Amino acid sequence: MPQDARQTPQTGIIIDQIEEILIANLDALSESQVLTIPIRCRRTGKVQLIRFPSSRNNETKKFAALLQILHLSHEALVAGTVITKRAIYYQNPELFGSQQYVNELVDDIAFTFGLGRDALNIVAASKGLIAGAMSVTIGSSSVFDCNSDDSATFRGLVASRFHETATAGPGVLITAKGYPDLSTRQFLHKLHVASPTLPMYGLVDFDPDGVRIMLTYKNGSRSLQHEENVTLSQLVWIGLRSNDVLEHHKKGPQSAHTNQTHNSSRIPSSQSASFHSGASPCRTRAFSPVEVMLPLKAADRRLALRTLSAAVGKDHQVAESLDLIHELQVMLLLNTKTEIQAVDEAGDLTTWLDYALTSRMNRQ
Amino acid sequence: MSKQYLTTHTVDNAHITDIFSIAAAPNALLSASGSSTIHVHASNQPDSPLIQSLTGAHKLGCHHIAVSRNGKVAASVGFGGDVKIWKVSESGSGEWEPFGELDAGKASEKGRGGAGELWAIALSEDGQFLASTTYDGRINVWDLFGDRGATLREYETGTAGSGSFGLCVDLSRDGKYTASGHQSGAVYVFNNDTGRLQYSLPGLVKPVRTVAFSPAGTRLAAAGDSGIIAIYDTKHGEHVGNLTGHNAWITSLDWSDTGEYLLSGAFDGKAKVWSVERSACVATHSETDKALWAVRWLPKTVRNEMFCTAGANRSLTFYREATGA
Repeated sequence: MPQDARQTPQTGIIIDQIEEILIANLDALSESQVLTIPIRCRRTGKVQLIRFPSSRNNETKKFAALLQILHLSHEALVAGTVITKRAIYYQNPELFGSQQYVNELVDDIAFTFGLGRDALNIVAASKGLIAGAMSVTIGSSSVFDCNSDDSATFRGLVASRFHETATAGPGVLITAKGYPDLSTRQFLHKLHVASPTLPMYGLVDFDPDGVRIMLTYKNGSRSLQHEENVTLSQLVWIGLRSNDVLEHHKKGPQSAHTNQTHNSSRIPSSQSASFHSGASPCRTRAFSPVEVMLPLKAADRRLALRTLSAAVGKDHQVAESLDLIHELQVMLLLNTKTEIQAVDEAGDLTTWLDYALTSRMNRQ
Repeated sequence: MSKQYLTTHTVDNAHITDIFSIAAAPNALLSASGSSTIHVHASNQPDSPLIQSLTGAHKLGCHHIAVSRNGKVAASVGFGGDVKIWKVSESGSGEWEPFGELDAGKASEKGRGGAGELWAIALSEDGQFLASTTYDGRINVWDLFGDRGATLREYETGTAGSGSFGLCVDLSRDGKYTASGHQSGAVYVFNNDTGRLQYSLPGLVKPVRTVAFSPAGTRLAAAGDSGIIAIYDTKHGEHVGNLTGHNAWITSLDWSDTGEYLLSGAFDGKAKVWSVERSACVATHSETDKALWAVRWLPKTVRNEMFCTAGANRSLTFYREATGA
């Protein structure tokens, strides 16, 4: 990575801001005053002073951790390099205790400065995976995010070379292995800016976390609203949808496989016609992407309910949020969640994906 | 020997989203959907016009609605766990008006607050008693005319707070029994007089999404993801037969007034009428290939037997028995 690229017009301002904090603390030290770092709370937006010394143990620890992160960020900014959150953690694992703790503080600092995290020259540990020939694909085909909690779906799709062989045309496969990190989202956003007509599709499990992952790609995350240029409003939720779950079980349990084979070999023209006229694709979907079905746990229901509440709360009732509301309501009614099927030798998932993607593209 | 039913009319787009539940009073059909509004259609008039909208009833949408057989009391449950009670106005206008709520969260007993959130409901013939299920498998019976802050009966179906999700519930017409169907496939019958479990019935292995007592209370029908309708004898708790023929999850069951026929609806959009005595399907209808969430017979008036189906196509479809059959 060219190091110069890491120095932006903001860089000088942040270096100043960090140095201001450090100088204020040096002054305080020389006057035997209490040391403080101001941090703005991401929930309330209020500034809070983190003190040293403090009677509260965790405040002392927080002060030390913040100081170290500011120091490392300052070093990276001045040198024009970047540092990963993972590297920060390993500077002093005993102090930080967990990676999560580092992540939280880094986001706190970025929020306090009113900037994106990468303005601190701090990046996430490499997490996302990508497969596909970028130079070929931009401007001509599609991007496809798949996010099952384990990355088995992604590996299966790559192994079957879906990014090259898809009926819908070559594309790029991307996974962030669960909830997407900032770098993956920034990357996708940049891709979108560079090529606005490039369609992007999201494939997630049919469960509350899957929906949240999809929404995080699309709208950003609630706790990182200060980050800019990380949303993908055009992302299409290709699956898994309640229809996929219901379709899976419309067929008799014994005859399921033979039925599926029949359906895929020839799709009656009357059905595809009704599909193009905007009817539900439910009937014409061949193969099932559904792997296992499990009842929702209490925590799943709570998360689904929170997501539903937030979706209903939005004053603009656009078709897209009505769709989201519907999917969450049906999930709660069915009290069932499903994971994406792994790609097996029969290639069921790729067949289904081919079908779902081409149908979707024809409709647009 | 099949029976013939004709589609009399369809109220298209009766709701703006999926219709999840319907309830039939003598002259009115109440419907609940993913939107916040409950609709009342005049089922005794041609074309069943919309006669009342209960707006803002459930902010997050409404998944269950029930009405008492006498048509005087209704209850509805929202996705937020909110339970509202409704009654027909005493002014004689026939309009439905709010009749308070059921604060299940507050009333949850033994310190297990929050988990007392209600899911499915059923009302007794006169609307005095309401039976409900919870996420964690508890079944409660409430006195809507008495103290709504406490349950009349509380039945556990598992170790405290960890029973299987109660997907459906019904009360026998005489109010003596409560039946519940669960995610685990279990079906239970409770005796409301003694407050005890009467029978734990041999279940269906897969989730049970609907249970219904026959009008005389001698039979219980249960169905769900197994695609089979199981019939039980409530006197001895025996499994007396299965009705097979649906190829999809069954969402809804309703007995005809005489107890001769069962109406069922499934996720593939098919509604079926079964002769219980002959264990045979006598009619199959599919106006839609979208999921049916609810099917109900209309209380018999002067005309022929009628029923209504509703679901993901957002419409109410009315059927009547062909004359001369």
